[in-house]
Amino acid sequence: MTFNSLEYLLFLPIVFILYWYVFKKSVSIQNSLVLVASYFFYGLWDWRFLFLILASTLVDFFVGQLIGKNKENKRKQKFWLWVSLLFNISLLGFFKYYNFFTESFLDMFQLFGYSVKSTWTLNIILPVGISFYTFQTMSYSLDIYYKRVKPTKDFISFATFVAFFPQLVAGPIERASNLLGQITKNRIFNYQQIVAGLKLILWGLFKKMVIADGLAPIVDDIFANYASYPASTLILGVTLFSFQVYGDFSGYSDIAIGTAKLFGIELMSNFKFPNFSRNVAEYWQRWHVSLSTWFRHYVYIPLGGSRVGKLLSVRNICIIFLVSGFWHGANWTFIFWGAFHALAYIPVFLMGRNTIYKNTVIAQDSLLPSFKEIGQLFITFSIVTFSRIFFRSESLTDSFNYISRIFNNWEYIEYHHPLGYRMIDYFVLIGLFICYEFLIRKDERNPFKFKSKILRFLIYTLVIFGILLFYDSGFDRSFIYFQF
Amino acid sequence: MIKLIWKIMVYAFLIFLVLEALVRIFHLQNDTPTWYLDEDNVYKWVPGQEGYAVYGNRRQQFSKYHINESGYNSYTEFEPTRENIEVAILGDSFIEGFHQDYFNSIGKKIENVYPGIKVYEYGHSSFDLADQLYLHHVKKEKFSKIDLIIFEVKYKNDLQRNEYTVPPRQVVFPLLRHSKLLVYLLNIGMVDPIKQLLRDFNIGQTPLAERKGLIKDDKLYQENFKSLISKYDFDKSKMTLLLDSRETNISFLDYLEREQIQYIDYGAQFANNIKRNTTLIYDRHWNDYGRSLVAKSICDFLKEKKKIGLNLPIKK
Repeated sequence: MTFNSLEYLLFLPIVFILYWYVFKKSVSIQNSLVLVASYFFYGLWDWRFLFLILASTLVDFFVGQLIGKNKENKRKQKFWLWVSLLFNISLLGFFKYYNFFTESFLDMFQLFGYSVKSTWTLNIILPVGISFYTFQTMSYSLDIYYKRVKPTKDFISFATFVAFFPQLVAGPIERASNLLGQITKNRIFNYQQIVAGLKLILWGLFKKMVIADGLAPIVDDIFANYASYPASTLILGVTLFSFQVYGDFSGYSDIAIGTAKLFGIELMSNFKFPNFSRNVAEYWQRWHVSLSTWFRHYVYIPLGGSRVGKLLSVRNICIIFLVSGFWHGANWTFIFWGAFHALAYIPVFLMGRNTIYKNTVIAQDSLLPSFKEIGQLFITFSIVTFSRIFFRSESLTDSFNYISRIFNNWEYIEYHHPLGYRMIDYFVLIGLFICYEFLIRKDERNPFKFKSKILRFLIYTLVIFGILLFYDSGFDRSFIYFQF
Repeated sequence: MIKLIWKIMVYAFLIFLVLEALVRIFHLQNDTPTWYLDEDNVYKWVPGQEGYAVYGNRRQQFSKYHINESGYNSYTEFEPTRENIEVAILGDSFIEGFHQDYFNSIGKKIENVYPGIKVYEYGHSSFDLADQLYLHHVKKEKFSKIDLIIFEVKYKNDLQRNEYTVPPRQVVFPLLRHSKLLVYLLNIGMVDPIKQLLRDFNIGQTPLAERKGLIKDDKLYQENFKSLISKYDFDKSKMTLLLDSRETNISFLDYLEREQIQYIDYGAQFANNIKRNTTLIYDRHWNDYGRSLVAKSICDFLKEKKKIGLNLPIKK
């Protein structure tokens, strides 16, 4: 069941009504309902993988208790923390990375002239959302270990925290200190919060169904046939992919955050208009914020962060970008993508400009951005978009061939999609989308923040009209980040 | 909660109204002409109707239709004479041609090559060979003045009946179709998940494609064909089939050869032109290029078989 499916359109109101009408008497009953709904939601993909979630939940629930019990014994605490980390990383390692490591190992043998017949790779299906919920459960044990939260004794609440359906399969990756606290507390029906949630859902659906799904057939065609296209088309393809992946993932996050609001829960923001970043460091403060935060808290800072010497800091930056790339997928393309971002980030860090834009947005106190800001924005967008070639290509060979064709086949030929899609529609769409996002750039949690009721109503209508104009029934509408 | 539900309902209603207006202003919906059953029990479009056939989102396919006095989509009236040279093409929606401007049909493309002849397109959605032969049968008098009659046959679709009966026909949700917004939603497939859900609960019609899967018998198709041509007087000298050999069973083609039943194979033209798309974006019907290829196949046939006489002027 995906957020943009008919099943979800039926499922969500049913759970919502049950939650606020039938099960409103106590928070534990509400949590039980959300837990059952979450398992049902997930089980529709493949019920067998429910056991993995349950296993991860049980392990971290008891590990949390044991770390809490051994307050005075640091060694025991460390031991139980390692149990949690090893268990969750093993799950990830087996389901996500086993074949990658095996194949890479065999390739290495072949590099040295040994021909090894591969019988070691397995037919493993990647459980949807495994990278997200394992990180979330690990964060719970880590937070207890670092004394940021206290272990809970309420298993239902904890299981709900792990499996909370709005963010179960693709985040935002929540930390126990934010989400678990809300789950254990009483929620009250808040009209404003629910309306805000509905607005975010609408905006998320627009980003997914119009921007991401609208551009997908064009991007798919260009990346599938890159060898026969000139540089102009390849640049167009990767630029459109940049918008596609942003629309897809930020759309998902908006729907997740909006859905959680319907149940009185506030999830963290995951995207803060990354396309308006003025350098790569700002980009990483705005793109997939929950993952960046996770790595900062649990990898970067424990390694010493930037409080150590420059060289060690650079090493730490390289580590988190490489791990972050690898987290995305078991493919060398993602590792290169991470490495590319590390290389782009390090100069910004060394110049001490990695936090200068932390609390501001482009054109902070003016109507329009300055020429300098436009230049910064263009350079940052170009760097990030270039890195997407690695992110989108099937293999490293494809990535480098794609790049090589851009530089060696430098010519402009107007692109025509084989099925005859009218390209001007998409250019106008992207232009309008950028302009609208610029208007709302200061508040990612309120995409329709206009005083006039009539204006708001017109925008709602136009957003829905946009969905109708770009809806494509023949297209597979699952989310890109489900594969991670 | 009551306030929330009330507001959602009001907003939904107002948004529905504005969307309805937008769909009408930009003419995004597909116009469907009204049909009737004539005195010979043949489905036809009510004469004199005009409108636009719209397919896909953002009206990427937008074409005007015009129903003539005979009840078919054509720029011309069907008035065959003994003196002039006329060709009739009978077929389904591909010949009906709501997917093109009515003045740019296959027939018109043939006429552009052979200005001396008139081409009448008796196309009606879902007409199979039984429909076509029956139409010829009941309008024998009119068709007797026509020099060449072409029956369009899609092997897997059009040979499932061995005689003509009036197929039941009804408009699903006729009231809902007054809303252009809902028509648009139906057209772009946005209602498909609901239809599928209803089908999962055994509510509504079984889709045509699933029913077709039940009949895969080539033998049956050939028996049906034999039965149809014997029942409805198939004149080999002035009648021919229009088919795609790539989609037709080889034994059926052998049978046609043996029986000296002529056929025009547009499949060869399509096979030689695989680089360009021959169908519409959101629809499996032929696009302008596809129709040009079919018209070319018919022109080649006319030239090769010298069907219409060699003295016709040919435009180059």
